[in-house]
Amino acid sequence: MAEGDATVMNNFKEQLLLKTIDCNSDTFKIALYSTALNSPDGADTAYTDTNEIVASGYTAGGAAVANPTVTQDDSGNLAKWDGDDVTWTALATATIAEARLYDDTTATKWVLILWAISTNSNGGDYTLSFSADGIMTLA
Amino acid sequence: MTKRGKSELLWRILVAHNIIEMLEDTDDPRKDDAIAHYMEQAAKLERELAELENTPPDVVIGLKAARLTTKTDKEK
Repeated sequence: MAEGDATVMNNFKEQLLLKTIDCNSDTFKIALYSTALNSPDGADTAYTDTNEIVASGYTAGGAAVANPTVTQDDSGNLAKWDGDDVTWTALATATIAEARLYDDTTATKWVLILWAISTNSNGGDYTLSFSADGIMTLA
Repeated sequence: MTKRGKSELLWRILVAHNIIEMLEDTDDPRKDDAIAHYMEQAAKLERELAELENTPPDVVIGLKAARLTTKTDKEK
């Protein structure tokens, strides 16, 4: 997978249909991992600190996505889920292979989306910038 | 404050990270505060090192939007 490629977890699709997850109101976080899952499979993939990076500038559990917002786009016949970019300030050198977005509100912290990463942190600020199309679109 | 050299900074950062790793394996109620303290110290040393070596460039990674589509559109 190329850097930035997204994988939607199958469990996320199910939890959406079961209305377990509120993309407007829940708290969502992104955690960084040195080893990638790379697969949407698994009935109950939840946040774990296994293989999560350990580096100064990073707190276990990752960083919150501010202002998660769902909007309807009638011109494009889609719904868009967006949020603010996430930045870790002065993130020390670490091997990063994947970013995982998870729901920090639900009792089980479901992992929702994976992004492939191939650029390691270097001690400078480290930003994950969402696409102009948002975190996710439903079309 | 006396400026520290690169080798001393690297050594201190390594010690801080080793302490953090050891603390993570302990079962003490003060663990979280201690880890936060050493993370803060490590971050301070990292910043000092970055300043010494000229600050590294910031990293910005563009994430592609995840897409959910109906099977009638994409997979039939």
